[in-house]
Amino acid sequence: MINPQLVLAVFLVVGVVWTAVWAWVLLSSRQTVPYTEVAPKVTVLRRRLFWLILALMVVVFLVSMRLLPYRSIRAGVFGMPQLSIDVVAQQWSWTFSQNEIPRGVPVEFVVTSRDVNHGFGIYDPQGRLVTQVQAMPGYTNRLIYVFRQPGTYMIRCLELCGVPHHVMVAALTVK
Amino acid sequence: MGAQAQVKGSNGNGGVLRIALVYMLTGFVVFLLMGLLGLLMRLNHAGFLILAPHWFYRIMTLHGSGMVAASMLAAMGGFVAVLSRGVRLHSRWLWTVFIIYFLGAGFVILATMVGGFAAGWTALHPLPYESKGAWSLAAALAMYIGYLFVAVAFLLYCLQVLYATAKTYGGVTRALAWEYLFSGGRKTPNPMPRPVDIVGTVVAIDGVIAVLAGAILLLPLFGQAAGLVERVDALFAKNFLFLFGHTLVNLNIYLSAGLVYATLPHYTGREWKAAWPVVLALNLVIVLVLLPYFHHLYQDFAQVLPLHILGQIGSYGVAIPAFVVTILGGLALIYRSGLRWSVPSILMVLGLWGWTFGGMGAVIDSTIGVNQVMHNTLWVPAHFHSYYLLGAVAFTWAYMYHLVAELSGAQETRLSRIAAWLYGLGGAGFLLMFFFSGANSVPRRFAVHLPEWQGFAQIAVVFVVILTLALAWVAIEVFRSIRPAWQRAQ
Repeated sequence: MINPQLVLAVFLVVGVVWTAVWAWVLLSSRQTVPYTEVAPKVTVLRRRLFWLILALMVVVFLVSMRLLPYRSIRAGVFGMPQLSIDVVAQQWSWTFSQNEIPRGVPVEFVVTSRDVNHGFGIYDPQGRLVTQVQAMPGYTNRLIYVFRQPGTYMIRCLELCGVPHHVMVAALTVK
Repeated sequence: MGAQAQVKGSNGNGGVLRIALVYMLTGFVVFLLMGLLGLLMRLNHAGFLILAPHWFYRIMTLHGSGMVAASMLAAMGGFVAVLSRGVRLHSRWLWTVFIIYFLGAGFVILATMVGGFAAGWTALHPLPYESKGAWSLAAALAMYIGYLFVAVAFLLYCLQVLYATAKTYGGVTRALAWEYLFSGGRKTPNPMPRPVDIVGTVVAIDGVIAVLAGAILLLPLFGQAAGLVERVDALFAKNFLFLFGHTLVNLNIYLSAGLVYATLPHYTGREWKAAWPVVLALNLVIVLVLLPYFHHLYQDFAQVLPLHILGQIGSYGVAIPAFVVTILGGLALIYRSGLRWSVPSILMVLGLWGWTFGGMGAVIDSTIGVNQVMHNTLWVPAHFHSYYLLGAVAFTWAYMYHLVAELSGAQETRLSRIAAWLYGLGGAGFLLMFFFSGANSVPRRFAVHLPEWQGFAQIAVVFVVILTLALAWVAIEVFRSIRPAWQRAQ
């Protein structure tokens, strides 16, 4: 699973490098040379950057396919679900077929909504969002997840669903 | 000021320049007001101010839709000003667009501030019709009518731009420089469109498509309200909503980027030519800009898998031309150019720098596996506020300042340049706190923040205050120069 803190760290490092590039370019702009001197270098740089970025994106894309949260992929990664829990969202509460979940077992949440769109977001005991799926009226979404850590997991609605949206909270216990 | 004479005399476009000023200044004022609403929300998140939840969501809805409308209007204004230097536009048509657009904005204000509509700018169906008494059906319809007016206005704007560029160059394909593009960059006997003409044509084509998507959504929604349609499918509504909304927002960015193509050369002394890579990139945008919207639906597992994958590919793909052509092109224009530091050039530099952060944040979040733990956290507003505030909007204010100064002959002060840099500082600090919040799983669109989340907003407020002061100074400068600018824009 992706760690958002790691994502932020990568983002910040690239950001610092990018800012350094800008600082260098802006410092260089004190000089004046004809654009005819710059243009050929830019053409080469553009071509190289294009291929570099494209290659990077292809690699990231291919690796990221392993991280897809959809049923067939997750069943392959976590194993077929051994427990199924029905989740029904409605303004502004959650109903579960059971509230207690065993640790280390692939669980499938079968999620739907009775009224409007809701977001079924699961927060771990440390307050980190670990997985989510939309609860949609007229549709059933299936989310597989394995809880490794025991404790109380908070369920927060992550899709604006009316004025009391932020109080649409529930808890699941992992034992 | 030789440039003044050029402005006054170019193509007799004074009427267009005047309506361009009206668009930009109206957009700027609305942007400032919406910004104050944003400050209220961050004060609320910080725990410095308590807003009742129903007011928070109303303010949030108006802030979201108003900000998009304001920056779009200002960009539309700036764009016709630069377009009119080579293409004949009709100021009466543009006034009509303005009036319809303004009526639309009025309906949105009525829906939110009077009707209590608080379903967010996305107004995800069926929430607008199922508020459990928080607002009425009339308020929801007022919101939709507001969107309809804005969409019609934008459609008319796009048709005007498309007609004008096609007429100037002898057809749409020539306005897109296809002859040059498909000959591999050989010289053609026909006049070559400027980058801004190609941008205008691309935006107009996609604008028409986006408005059509909006119409396909609004018709059944009105039908349901009238009892003619039993139920509008939630997934259908989401797809067309984001095809409409996401595309419009992106087109705003391209309009603003077009302003950089036209304005940065004034400060670097180097022309931004429609070279082959530029023409290719802009033409690719016609298709690429329509694909990323699927990333809004990654967590709707009911959507078919290929569309999720297409969303990721499209989101990655659209970033490449923006970076490799526009941003790198801007860097190249600045590199060893003897750049003239001025408020517009500072804002454009900040915009080219900050746009990348927004784009990078967007590409990260458009990776489906990452989106699993980032979707609907504050990472989302982090990235779109970045490519707006430190991207598109910075470009638009740069051009507005440039045009007003050019027309009025007003001289900027050292304090103005400091204000422009402070805009960057305030914006960067404010946005960074959004990114930190998102990485810490803080949900977006929450009226009440837990105590452990409030620290991010408390730091953000300091930077928003810096941003507000910077914008206030720029506003004073611009409004002091309006009268002479208006008089000279004949």
